[in-house]
Amino acid sequence: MELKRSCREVTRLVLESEDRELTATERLALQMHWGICATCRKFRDQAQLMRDAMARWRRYRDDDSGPAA
Amino acid sequence: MSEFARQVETLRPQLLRYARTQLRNDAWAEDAVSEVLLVALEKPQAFAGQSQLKTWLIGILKHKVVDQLRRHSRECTILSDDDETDVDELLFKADGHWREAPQEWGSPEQSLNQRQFFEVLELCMEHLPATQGRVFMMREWLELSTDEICKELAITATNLWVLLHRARLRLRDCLQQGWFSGRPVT
Repeated sequence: MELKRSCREVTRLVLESEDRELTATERLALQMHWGICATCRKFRDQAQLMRDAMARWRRYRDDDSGPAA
Repeated sequence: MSEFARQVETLRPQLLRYARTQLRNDAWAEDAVSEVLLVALEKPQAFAGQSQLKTWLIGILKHKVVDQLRRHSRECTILSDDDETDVDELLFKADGHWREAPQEWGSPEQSLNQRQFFEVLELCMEHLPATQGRVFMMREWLELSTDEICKELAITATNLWVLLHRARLRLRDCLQQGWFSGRPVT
């Protein structure tokens, strides 16, 4: 399978990884793209921050263990 | 009214807000919350006190909210123009490159240690188009699998992927506008 992916396709894969397990080939394609694309590395970091934020928000919302006001 | 009933009633506004964010319909939200309060008042002994009252009620609310989603699945999946907007077109050029590069968001701790950040996050979730908001919350708050969401709402996996994809891109954009570039979300 072709490993070269556009920024648009890489973005889709990064977001899909929130909801499903990516295949090895997809993960490899991501790694290769990130190796050469600083812009998509930034998007990856944003997605990671959002994932952390949602996890913390769930706890904060359901049992009040969020950051103090 | 018993002390227990009073405590339960105090939590009603908060439960309503949670139910509304998930259901995007005031009447359904009210029904779901009323069902929760009925369970609590009819079977107070089920609350063993091992968790906070709020946590217990939210656990019940999540089930009641899924019942509502299932009951109204057809209306829940009607797409508005906003739901239909192809967010990818706005972000990417025809050749698949970014129109505008994502910005540096800094270290997570800078944001995640601030209560205000979570207020912006909640506002951004409330601002998602209704159907996108519902499926996003089903995934992130109700923590249902994508298979379960498809089943409850009777939608195809392809439709769900598109909705979740757009919801996450919109949320990112809203956080960029409302938090990371310091403009308030209203």
